[in-house]
Amino acid sequence: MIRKEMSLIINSILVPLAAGLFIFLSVFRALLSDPVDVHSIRYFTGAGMALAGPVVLLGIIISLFHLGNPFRAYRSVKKIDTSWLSREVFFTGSFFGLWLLYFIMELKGIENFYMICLTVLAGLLSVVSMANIYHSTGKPGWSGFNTYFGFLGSIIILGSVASSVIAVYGGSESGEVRVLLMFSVSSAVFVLAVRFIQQVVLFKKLKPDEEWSIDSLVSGSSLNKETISRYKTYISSGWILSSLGIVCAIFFLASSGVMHFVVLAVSFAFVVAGEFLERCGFYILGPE
Amino acid sequence: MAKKRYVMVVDMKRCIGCHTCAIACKSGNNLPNEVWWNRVLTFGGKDMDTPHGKFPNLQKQYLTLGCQHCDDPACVKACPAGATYKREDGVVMQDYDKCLGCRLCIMACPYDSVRSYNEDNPEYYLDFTVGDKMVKPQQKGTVSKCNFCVDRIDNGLSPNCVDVCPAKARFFGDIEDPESEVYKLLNANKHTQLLADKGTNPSVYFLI
Amino acid sequence: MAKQGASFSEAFSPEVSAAQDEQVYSCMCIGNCQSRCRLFVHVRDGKAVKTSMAPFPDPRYNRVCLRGLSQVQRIYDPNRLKYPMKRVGERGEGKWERISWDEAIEMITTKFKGYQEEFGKQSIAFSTVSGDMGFVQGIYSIKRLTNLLGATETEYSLDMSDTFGLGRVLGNGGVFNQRNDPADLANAKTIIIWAANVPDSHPHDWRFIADAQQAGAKVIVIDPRYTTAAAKADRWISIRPGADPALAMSMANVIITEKLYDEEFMLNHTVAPFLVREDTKKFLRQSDLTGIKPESPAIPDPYIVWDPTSNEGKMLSEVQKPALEGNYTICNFKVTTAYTLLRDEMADYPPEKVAGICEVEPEAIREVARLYAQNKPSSIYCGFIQYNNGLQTGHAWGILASLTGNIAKPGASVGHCGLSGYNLNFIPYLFPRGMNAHIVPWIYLKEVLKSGKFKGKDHPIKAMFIIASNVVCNATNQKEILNTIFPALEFIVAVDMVETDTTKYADLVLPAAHWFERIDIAQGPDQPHTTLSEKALEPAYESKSTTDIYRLIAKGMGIGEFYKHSDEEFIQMLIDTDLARASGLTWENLVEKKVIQTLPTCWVNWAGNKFPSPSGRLEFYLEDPKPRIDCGIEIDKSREHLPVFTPPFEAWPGNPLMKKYPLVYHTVRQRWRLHSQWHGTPWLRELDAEPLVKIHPKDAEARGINTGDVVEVFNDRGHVVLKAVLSEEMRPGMVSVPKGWQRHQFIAGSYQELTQDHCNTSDFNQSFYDVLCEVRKVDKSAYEKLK
Repeated sequence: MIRKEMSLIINSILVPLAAGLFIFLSVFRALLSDPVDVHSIRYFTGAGMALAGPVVLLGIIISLFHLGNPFRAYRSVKKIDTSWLSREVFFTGSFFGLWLLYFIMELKGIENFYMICLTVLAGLLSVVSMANIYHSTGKPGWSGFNTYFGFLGSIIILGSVASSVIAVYGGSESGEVRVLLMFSVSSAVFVLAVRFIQQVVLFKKLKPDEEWSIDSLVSGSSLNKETISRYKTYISSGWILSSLGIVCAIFFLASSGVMHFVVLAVSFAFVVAGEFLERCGFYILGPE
Repeated sequence: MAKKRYVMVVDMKRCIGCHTCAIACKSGNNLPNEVWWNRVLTFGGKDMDTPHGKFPNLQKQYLTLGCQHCDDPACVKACPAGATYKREDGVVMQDYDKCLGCRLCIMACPYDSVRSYNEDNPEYYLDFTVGDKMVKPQQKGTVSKCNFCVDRIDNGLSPNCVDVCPAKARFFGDIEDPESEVYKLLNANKHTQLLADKGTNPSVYFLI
Repeated sequence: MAKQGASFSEAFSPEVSAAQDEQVYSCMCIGNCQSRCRLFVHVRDGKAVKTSMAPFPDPRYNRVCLRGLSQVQRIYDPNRLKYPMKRVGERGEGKWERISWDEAIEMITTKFKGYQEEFGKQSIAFSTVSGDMGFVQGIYSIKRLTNLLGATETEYSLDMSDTFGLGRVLGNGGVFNQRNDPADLANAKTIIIWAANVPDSHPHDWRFIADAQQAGAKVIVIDPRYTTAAAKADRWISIRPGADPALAMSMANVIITEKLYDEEFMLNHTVAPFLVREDTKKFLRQSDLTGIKPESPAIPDPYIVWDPTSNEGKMLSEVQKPALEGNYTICNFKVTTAYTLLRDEMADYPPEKVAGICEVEPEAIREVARLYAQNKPSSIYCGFIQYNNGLQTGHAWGILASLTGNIAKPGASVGHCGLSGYNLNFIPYLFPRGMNAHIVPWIYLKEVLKSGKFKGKDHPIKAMFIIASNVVCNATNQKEILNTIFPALEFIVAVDMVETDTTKYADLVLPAAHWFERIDIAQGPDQPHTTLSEKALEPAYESKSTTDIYRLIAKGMGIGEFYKHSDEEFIQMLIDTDLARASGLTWENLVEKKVIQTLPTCWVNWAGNKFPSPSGRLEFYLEDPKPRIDCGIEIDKSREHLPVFTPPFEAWPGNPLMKKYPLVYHTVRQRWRLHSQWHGTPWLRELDAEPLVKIHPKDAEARGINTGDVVEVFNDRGHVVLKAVLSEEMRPGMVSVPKGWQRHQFIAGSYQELTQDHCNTSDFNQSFYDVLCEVRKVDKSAYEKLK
């Protein structure tokens, strides 16, 4: 299942990353008010928000590889009335489209606060739709709240660390920035804590199907011992890596410039790997 | 005229797992290699034809599994392209020309492996089309499944898998018609649906 | 236009077929599952694209199976034999040279004539089994050739243990005509399925048993393993393999002891009241008392029975109610009623004693016996007994039917198959110059080849022509066939549609046309029709129909005048009987309607209790038991007047061989193949990819075997290497390997290497399950190098 769905998995990392980058950095831009560093603030948030576009575009292109008939992809928005995938494609497309408009306005120096808000909304709705695709199937391990904390959680985990990388790499040294970065990375701690609790509950709940029942024989949600154990391995290792990444980032941010930038880059690599593994685990619960 | 609702009835007491229906479907619909729209499952031990229990206290039954043509199909809701849709008479259809191959229908469907996905060009053992010519050819990158042999039923013929059953355990018809065989059978016999608690109200009934 | 009815019962519409550019032919599927299904063959652009179920006039007989529906893949099988091929290199090496038909026929006829001149007419042998059951193109037609040529004809030595045992009681010996129309099973109140897995081997019969069950009938399955039939049964009795005669005789014991028998039936329709002479063991007849033997068999020689009212022996016709039991003396002849002898013999098999032999609870035996005798009408659906003691089982079944009258009535049926060919003109078709062929049972062939003698006379055999038979795959003791029988034959011709284990070891291979590539007629036995099988396609490549092959050989052998007939003329010759005409079976009708119902629905065999035995009654006591085939071998009659339980030849505790090979070895029929036909059909291989040996988890655990492990199943005769599946359906102490796979489909060896070829000189039958083996886990890579 994982190899077949690899393009979907990658897409499900890139889109929250793009959304996270855009959301965090647009919030930073709104909150940061240091008049001395205005040019730099605008610079690093602008750079990060500019990255969101190509990242989501990459995600969209990669997700096309998941399709049997990529050239028919335009048809995927035909069923917005019932299909979460239609909605996801619509909102992801909107996110990119609105980002493009924002970017043009940004380049031309036009006031684009409302455009930014719309783009943020589109990004959130895109990831909510993505989560609902799986939540609506009713499959064990997909139909619970953990699904939301998985996909939406990625926005926070990836977005916060990615934003930190951009900020620090961009040379922003102001104390205000540091505080914001620390706060956003700490919200990732909250997400990971909730995930931990949810996963513990879910691990207990997920049982291999009764050996002898017609339901488990015909069900597309059939889970055997092997699948469940692989799921647990992926989720646990993913959680550990993401947590390591977040802890690393906090240490870096708390060290006030003592640590080398590489530490932050490494922590970003950790969270990407961690989220990737978490997603792989999630997809393992799907049909073969 | 009253709305039709086509249903299939499988008598689990009589089914002997012979796979005649599976082969009838495979050959009549010219299914590609490794693609089966109708599967026969052993409700017993882990392997085909093995029983549940310990010798000599054993049990074994067979049932067939294909698209359940649900009244409230999860796949139709999930399909982003409108390639999966439900006809007025209840048949859930798969339009290969519209299908993107996203496989969300497979993820949404409560039932195991009733839909097949042609990841590559469909391959066949013979270099000419077998089965009913009117069946739409399969396409690469699309999903296919049982369609109650719509080309046949629209011409007044029974689906490929029904009459061939050696055990006379398969029936097809319009459940809204009180004169139909399926109506009478369901009225007179204990029956069940698979995964009824998923709420999709399948149109395949099993006599138990 | 097929109507949109309240139910979709139309599966075929000429209009829909025409709209799809199909020409539809009415053909027959004629392997020997005994169904003889009628198929529509849909042809588009000269290619068969589909087979579908074609109906019979009475829809209750409509049937088809997964194999009949896969025929298209057999017609276009890449392994179809395309042209005659001559062996170059060693037998089995696989090196062939393509030759023309002229060369092939020249080779055959030159050699055949040469052998016949030098060694006698019997020196050429023709061997067929059951691969093709059409009357003109199939196995029966070989007799025309063998009888005209005075050749040897091997008799297949199959399915003839219990069949002969029961057949002797009925009076028609080793003939496959015993039971009622299978549709009649729906009328039974009790059905005992004995040694048969009907859902897998006879799916077309199952629906009648299911109908009976739905109507309240009790179904009992007697089988060591938990088959699908057992899963559907009301009661499953797991009998020790090979103990069937003891169980049947114990049932007789219960029926006798508890007086559940039908006395009226016994007195009037069986030999029960007949008096058996103590000295000759034969029935007392009037000629014994008068001393005058009738001059001809046409003159009746009445049986003598005891009249209890007048206390004397009288002619049967003169006594209202003869004595059932007792010892009497009539004119110095000490006699006993046949029933008394039966009662005394069956007294040796009380359930408590038999329970140990059969490993069945005594109460189960009683229950089945009572049901059979009281919950009437009762039928026994008989499987073919595959042990050396099958003869006793069949005889015991005949006893059960005799005791209870569960025969010749609706719902009361026993034995195998049924009327087939009964209304056909076989004499001019098969024996135009009389019966001149020499019948040698396959199981006795080795002996004949070794000694060069048959029935005391010289009988050299130099050549063999094999058709509609995959004998290397399907006859017992494969290595003996390849190492002893075949080497004794200088010239072997094999005819088949595809390459098989047998064609691989021939000297000359001829390509046979597929069933739909020629015209023929077929009958039942499991459905009451005579059906035309049209020619839907031209023979593929250079293949030829059986009749065309025979025509060429006949011409070369100088008997061409007997093969001037076309296939249609042969059919017309066959159906030229009053019986056929009476049921509407004429050539014109056949061509027009394709299928004629030539027997009544649910026909009852032996209706009116008219049995073909010398007495016209069920002869459960055989006054003069003879072997099934006369090979000049005397038998021990004392053990065959009434059945006496003897254990199987090899598969029985107490056989010292069991220390080395403790597991009983079954080679079972599965739905995927019919004997070895369909062994290469791709659709079926998708569902059934490789041969698997089934073994009980206890036996597997003791040998460190898990599902999926590669194992070797072996005994002193040979081995087979394949993957294992653990299954609780297996009775501990036995394993089962599916039959019909070809050698190249196993990792190594063949399932047929393990079987034994002991020759039972009463029934001349092969005992496929009467085999012991052992199983061990092996490393697959050890066999990869051999490939």
